[in-house]
Amino acid sequence: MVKKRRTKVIELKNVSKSYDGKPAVDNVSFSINKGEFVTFLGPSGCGKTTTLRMIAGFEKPTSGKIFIDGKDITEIPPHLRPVNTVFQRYALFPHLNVFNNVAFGLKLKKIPSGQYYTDKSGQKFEKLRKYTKEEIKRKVNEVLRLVDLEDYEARDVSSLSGGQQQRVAIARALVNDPEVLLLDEPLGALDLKMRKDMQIELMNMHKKLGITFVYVTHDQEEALTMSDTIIVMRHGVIQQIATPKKIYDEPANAFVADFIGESNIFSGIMLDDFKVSCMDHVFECVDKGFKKNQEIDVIIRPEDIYIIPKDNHAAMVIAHIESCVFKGDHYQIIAMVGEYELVIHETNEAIVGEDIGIFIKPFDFHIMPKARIINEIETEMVSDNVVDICGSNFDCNGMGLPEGTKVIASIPFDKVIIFDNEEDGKIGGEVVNTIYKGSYYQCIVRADNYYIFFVDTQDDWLKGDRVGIGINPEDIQIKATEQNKS
Amino acid sequence: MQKNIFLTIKNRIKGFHITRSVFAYPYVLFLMLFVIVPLALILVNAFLADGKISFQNFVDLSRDGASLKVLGHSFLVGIVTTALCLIIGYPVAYILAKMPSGGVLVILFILPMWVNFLIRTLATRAIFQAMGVALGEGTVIFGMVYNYLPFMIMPLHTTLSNIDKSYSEAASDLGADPVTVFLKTTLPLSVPGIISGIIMVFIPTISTFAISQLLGGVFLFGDSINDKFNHGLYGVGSVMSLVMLVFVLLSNVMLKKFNKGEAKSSVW
Repeated sequence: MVKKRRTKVIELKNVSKSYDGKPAVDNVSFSINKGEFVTFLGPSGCGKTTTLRMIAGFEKPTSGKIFIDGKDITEIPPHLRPVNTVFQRYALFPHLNVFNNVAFGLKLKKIPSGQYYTDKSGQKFEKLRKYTKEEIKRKVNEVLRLVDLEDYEARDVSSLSGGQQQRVAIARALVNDPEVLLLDEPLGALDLKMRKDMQIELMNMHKKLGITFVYVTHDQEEALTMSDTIIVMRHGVIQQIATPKKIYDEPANAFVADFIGESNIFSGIMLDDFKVSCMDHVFECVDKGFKKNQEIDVIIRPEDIYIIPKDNHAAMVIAHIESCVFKGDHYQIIAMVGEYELVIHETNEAIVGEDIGIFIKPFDFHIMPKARIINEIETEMVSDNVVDICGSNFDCNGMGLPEGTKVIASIPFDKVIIFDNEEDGKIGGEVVNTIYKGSYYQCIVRADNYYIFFVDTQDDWLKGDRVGIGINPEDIQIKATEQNKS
Repeated sequence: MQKNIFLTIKNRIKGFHITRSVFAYPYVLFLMLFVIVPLALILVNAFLADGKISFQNFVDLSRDGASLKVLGHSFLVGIVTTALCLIIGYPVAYILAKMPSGGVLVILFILPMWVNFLIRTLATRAIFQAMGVALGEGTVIFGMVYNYLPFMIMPLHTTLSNIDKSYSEAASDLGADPVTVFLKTTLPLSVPGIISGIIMVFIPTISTFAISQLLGGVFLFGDSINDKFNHGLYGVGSVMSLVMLVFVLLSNVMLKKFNKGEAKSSVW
């Protein structure tokens, strides 16, 4: 077998994009290899479409550089880039029929003609020519056969079904032989059955053509099925770049774990190498290298939890079954371990109200460091015992520090109070994300000046909700920063 | 017996429900009085000569070389005005549609429409006279373009701002430079707006009067009809009105055909 050469097709270096000062994509760097199927995955508003549009050329990065085939194309307009896009809502030209839609790019393309001419300064140039009518016809028919739409050339695009329009959109892009095909949630408008079929067809096309595919989706299953590599994004920041299997088995953090498939996420403490404490129990695991007593997140996939009789000696903990729901190919069981809720996927039905034993293999405890263990804000004292937090004045114990002192204010996660009514809090913010951690919710709230608060609460706050944030004076810890001393 | 009549009346009243169509009655009445009846009168007058039904009026008109010349002239003025409105209006509408503050500027363009057109025209004439510009064909066309430009800009602006920007993105993605993007996507997609703009401008201009007389003493077909009626020539005047009506209908039908009904025509 020939040695596989991995060449970079696309490379992004420190690319950022902000709209009116709001960061949409924040310092993103990655590269995509030739022939790869790469998927951007993330919730809506995570910056994945913006990143794709920057590669296509519809958006200019605020900073950073984009390379295609090693050439800096940051400033090159879209019509000169060797990429083609399949748009979210297809964007087929309504005034053209299927043939003319597909032929649109071909009719504009100039190709080397094989003839040469010499200009006044003696330089030799190859003449360019347009495709002939026959060539266009042949190419269009070829690509329409590829997408199974052979006899549709003369049809009006508005007379086609959603799936057929989708195919025309793919054909229109592919006919230009792009180096990279960009797909912006192309299957979002199709029904489930159609989506599954198209997923397989797209994968086959990718295999057959060997073109690099860059795919954007918010559907984790789609990403896991189709891609060679997944790039998980949140708040415009890349969370993890890995193969689907690795993303699923070894998520980089609690967000990725929560977004990719269902999972149980608990806060825990790494007692020692191979020893983790969570759910008020100590378990054996395969992770090491953490600091002693470091706070971590523990992730356990529902299908990795085994139900055994409670008197079995292998039972690690005893759980009480709260509910058992049939989900088609498995039962979803919710069991309580003390105050912690555990979601289990089992093929056998469980009896509600019964006590069971739980067994989890050591390597199924996925341990990841916490992104943050306390909210820390760099700010300054407004006056004695008043500190500025996100533009509002908060009372606190100022420890005698004078006005204008640069300080770090620390607020524990569970001391941040969220109010339903924005006016009830001192600062306004938006709920970015909520993760259930077995016995409480960890909620991420972005305050209006972009400081991101981690909040532990008993309530499930809806993503995108406007909330007020309040903090009691005694819960704010003030520490002067080093720079004051110098 | 008396009781019976009372009952039937009561039943009649009971049977009368306020349905949606009831609200249309005043409008229907209005249409009858001010649209259908006058049209019928024109039709009757056109075929009535010396109290008898005949085609005499048509014969008279076909022999009246001057009136036919005026008709031809009116068409020419109408076409020139419409063309000028399109040439001036399209770029304006395009820029307005692309600019975020376009909505406000559109209002600025419509604002003159709130002033009565006679007052506007008289003012224009006063300006021309003050500037020492001789009134004539040119000033008439200027006045017409000035008066009817908003009618061109509005439908164009509506259509242009409703074109999804993903079409032009798709075109440039497929290798079209900005000029080609415009020629191959924006322009064809704005055809419905162009058509309704043309209808909105061309039809009133060919039948216009007053503007032409005030701004240059040019005699157009509308003026000619006005003149005929003023001189009591109801028969010939009615025939001329009919001819006008037929031309308006014809141009409407032709434009609609050309449009092929690809995009829904806008409200305008």
